Amino acid sequence: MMRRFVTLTGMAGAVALGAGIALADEGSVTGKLTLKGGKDAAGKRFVLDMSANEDCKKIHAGAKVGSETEIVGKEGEIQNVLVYVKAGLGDKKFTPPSEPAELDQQGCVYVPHVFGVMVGQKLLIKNTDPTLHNVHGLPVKNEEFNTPQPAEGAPIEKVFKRAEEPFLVKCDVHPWMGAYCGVFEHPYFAVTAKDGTFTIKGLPFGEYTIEAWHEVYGKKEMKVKVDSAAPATANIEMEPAKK
Amino acid sequence: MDFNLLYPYPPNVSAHGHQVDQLNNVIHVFMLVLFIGWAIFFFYCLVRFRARTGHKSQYELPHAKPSKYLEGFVVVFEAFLLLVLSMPAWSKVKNDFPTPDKNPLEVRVIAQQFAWNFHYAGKDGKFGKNDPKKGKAAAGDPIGLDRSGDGADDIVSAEFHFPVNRPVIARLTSVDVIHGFHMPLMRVQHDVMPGMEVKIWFEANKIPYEDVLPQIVESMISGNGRADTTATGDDVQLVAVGSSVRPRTAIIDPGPNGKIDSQPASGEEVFDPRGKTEIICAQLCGNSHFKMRGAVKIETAEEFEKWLASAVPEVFEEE
Amino acid sequence: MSGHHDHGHGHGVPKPGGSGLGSPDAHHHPELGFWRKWVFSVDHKVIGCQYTVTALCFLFFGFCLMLLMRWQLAYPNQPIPIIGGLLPASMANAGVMLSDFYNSLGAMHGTIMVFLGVVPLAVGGFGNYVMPLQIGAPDMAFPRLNMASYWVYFCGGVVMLASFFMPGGAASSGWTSYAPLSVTATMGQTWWLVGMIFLITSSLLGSVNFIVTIIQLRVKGLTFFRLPFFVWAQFVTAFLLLLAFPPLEAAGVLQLMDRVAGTSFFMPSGLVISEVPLQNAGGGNPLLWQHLFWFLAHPEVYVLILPAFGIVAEIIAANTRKPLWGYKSLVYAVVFLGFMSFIVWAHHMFMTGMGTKMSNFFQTTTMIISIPSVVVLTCLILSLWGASIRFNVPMLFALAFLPMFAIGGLTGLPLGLTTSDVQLHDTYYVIAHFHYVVAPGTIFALFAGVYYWFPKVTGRALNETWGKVHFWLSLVFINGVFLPMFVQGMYGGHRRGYDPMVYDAYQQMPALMGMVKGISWSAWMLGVAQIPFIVNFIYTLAKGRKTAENPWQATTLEWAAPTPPPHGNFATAPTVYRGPYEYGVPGLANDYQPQHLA
Repeated sequence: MMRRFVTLTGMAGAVALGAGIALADEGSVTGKLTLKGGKDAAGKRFVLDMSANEDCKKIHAGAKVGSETEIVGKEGEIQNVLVYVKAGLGDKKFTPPSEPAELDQQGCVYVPHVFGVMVGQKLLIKNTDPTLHNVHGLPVKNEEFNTPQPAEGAPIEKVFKRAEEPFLVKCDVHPWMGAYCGVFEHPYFAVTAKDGTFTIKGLPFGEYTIEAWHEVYGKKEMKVKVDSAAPATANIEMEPAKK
Repeated sequence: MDFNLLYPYPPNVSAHGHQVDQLNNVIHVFMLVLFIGWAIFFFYCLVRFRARTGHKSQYELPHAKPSKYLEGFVVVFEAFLLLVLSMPAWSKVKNDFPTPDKNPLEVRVIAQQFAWNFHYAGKDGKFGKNDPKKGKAAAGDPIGLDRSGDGADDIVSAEFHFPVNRPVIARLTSVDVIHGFHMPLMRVQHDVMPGMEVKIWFEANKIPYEDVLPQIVESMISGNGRADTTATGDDVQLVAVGSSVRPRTAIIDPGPNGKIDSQPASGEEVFDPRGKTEIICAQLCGNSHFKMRGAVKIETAEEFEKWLASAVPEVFEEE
Repeated sequence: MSGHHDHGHGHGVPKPGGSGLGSPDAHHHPELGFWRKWVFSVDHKVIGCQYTVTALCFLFFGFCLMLLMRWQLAYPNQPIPIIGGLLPASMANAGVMLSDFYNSLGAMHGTIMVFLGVVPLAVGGFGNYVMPLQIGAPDMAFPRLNMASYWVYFCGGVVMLASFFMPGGAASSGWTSYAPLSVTATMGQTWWLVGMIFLITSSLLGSVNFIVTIIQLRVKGLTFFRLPFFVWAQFVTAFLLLLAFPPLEAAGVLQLMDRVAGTSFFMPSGLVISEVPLQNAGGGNPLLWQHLFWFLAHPEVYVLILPAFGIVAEIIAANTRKPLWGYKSLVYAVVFLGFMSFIVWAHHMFMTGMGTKMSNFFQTTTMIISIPSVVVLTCLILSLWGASIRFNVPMLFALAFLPMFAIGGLTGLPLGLTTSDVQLHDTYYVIAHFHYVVAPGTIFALFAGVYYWFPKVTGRALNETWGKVHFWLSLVFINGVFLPMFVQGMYGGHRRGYDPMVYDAYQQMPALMGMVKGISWSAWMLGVAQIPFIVNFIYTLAKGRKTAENPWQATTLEWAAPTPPPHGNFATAPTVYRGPYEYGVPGLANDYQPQHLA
């Protein structure tokens, strides 16, 4: 019996050690983005005025659509914050994935509202709507683009050559439409969900500066150390827009 | 609108529009008279003076008086068009702005690529300042309105509302390129220039499509061009199911309860056309110029006041 | 002195007539090689042919651009058949034309037809070839300037065509290029401006040449009032080009500077494009561009029509076998028209916000300018009275010109009066109006000219039967294209609209969309109708039947030269004894008296 116990313990230990070795050099960062002052500090959300666009109104069948610039929950949790590694990766080079990132136009609203893409990764801009859109990207470091896209037309393919901070992609025909696209040289970025949380996985051990970017609240940095399999926490509080 | 080759105009709902149509009618009659006269003479000559054996041309011709009369008539008629029919009407449109005792409604029309924004002064009657550089339509503020001070009660809307039988002064400006403001049913057109504000005025004396039933079922253009909806409840079937219809035809009468109880068939929808018209962008302004349609609602004074009270950018209530 | 002698080179301006300069025998110069004889020639006839062929190609190309646009209009957002899939992503999405490509097609159609097609053909082609012959001259006053003007035009054409390959495509801000849209547009617009600078320079060089030639090189006895009306028309046209183009060339340079050098001649302060403030100096005014542009572009439309008047007059005179009615009225009318054309330009700008003083002035001048047009039309129609009308192909086109121009001219009236223009400005009514004047108007006159002078240029006659097929099909289909557009415009159908179905009139009245489809089909059939002409032209050049020297029995001097006229045109300089239209003179054996026979 003693022998079986030792064997089992040994085996469990070996498994644990093995598992530990397999994940030994990668961790993750997770956290929650909140707004200082809570929901009341946020600007109001407005109903998007589609009164001049029957084609968009029809898709929503009378339902009201809210603006997406400041989506802050009851406890101040902020949706649509792009969180990414700003420093700490050294000179490492990363290959972009072969699957494209996707930006869709549904009901005259961009889906997703905020997203990231890697340098050299294909971005597929789709138009699922039965109406014409005009995709107008306004990057600073990459080339500006402005392409009409017919209703339910073929996707537009874009590849960005340089990393840059999130830039606006808008529709000149439907002025309320806007999405933000960040271009990164590495794959370590994520967007906060409705509850304000994000997770960036697969980060090698090390010390990093991560940055949170929001279209209204600006940027906020935080240093974080990834040194174990347990996720590092980075809860960031952002300042509301100055009035 | 009805297609009528002999009178190919959209309906006129403006107070001054009949002068525009009248001038067009007079000119076109004049043009037809001249053209048919010329054409008759022309074809007569082609037949009578065609080359054939035994026929010789006439070298000397008597000096033709009729041509001098023709020219004289043309000059006098053009002077009539100019001095009687065109200049006075235009002068009224350009110069006779409604005085304050007529209680004109002042609206700022701010055009951009590719949408129209309408800025109302609100209860205090004063316009807040706006800075296009600060405009962010995604945040509900397309014109960059300063909501402190005079701008606190201003209304910025994507749909142009104004009441019937009340003069409207529209102050037109653009934030980027030249656009054109054309409301065909109002017989109003003017360029919208960046860097300057130009005032125009107009007054509607009818609500567009008022003669159509308040709630109808519209047949979609892209659909099969047939009436497919069946009336239920107290609704009245106006057009038999399966008949061919042109768009915006009343297929169903809402009946005594004033509501469409019937379920529209696929491809058809309920549509209230009363008061609804459009602004066409009349000056090429970029790659989506063709889509720069402005929505207009001309309504009664009560409906307009009700809209003004409710139209402040609506706050979005989350579930 | 070695090398070949240019007429007019080193001798000052050549004297008309008897100095012997008209005699090729007096010159012994070495045979020119192929390049100097046929490509870089200074002979006005070679240059005229170069202009003609180049311009005809551009006309066809510009027409094809429109045929492509008509698909999108008739079948909005449907993939273009056959070639849709071949178009790159910058032009079409899954075969459906993109709206910025549509706008490029529109802008380039207008530019190519006006500046690369009609004017080079009417002035550079016909004017160059026929005018020196009609005045008995051996060549133009400045033959090398003439060659320069062709090659500068050619370079302008290459630049314009190259702009299609620029990122962002060709210019897409209309042929009118209004600022600020044109200043903020893609690179194609810069190439458009460079192209325009070449084209305008070409016209300026040509116009100087024409004026000096007509004044100085008329042969003995050819007084101004014995000139063929064609020459008068070219003369006034040359003045219009000379005086009206410079403001546009200057404006083009200013706009180029706004685009590439950060100036703001036409750009106001504080512009915000797609919510991004524009970084420029500001302080300019877009209306300045409009005034400078239209100051040329209005006289430009008279440049488009006057040569047509000239061609039609010649053909009517020769084919009615009697003098033109009211020759002096015709001359005074076109001279007056020339003057007036400089003071009507702002009728294109009635909706920009001008006060009633200005709009009253321009309405009045616009009404006044219609009078000489009425005079010209009346004189030409009255010329049919007492005639003996021969219905050959040039005459068919020349006759059709008259009612077509009448429709075009008359429909200018509601546009020239502000109160009616308020509803019609920028609609298809405007498109129908100006196309009637230029398309079944000028272009028909140009076809007439091709059929008429082809025998003089080549010694062969175009086939009459196929010419008649070309005529009748073109007449029917061109009216099918433009007549319904008046109705479309009156219902509020605006121009430059990629998808008509956005607006109420088309949504509410299927008959209007039906009309749009009908127009597109007429346009495509009109394209097919040009095939007999193209085949006839090429075949006749190669194998056509040879004709007599003066197949139309015409009186003017070009028919007195050999066929085709050699370098130097006339063996001895002719002398003129009478006016240009001595047809049907009573008491003569022949029914006509050429100008040069004693």
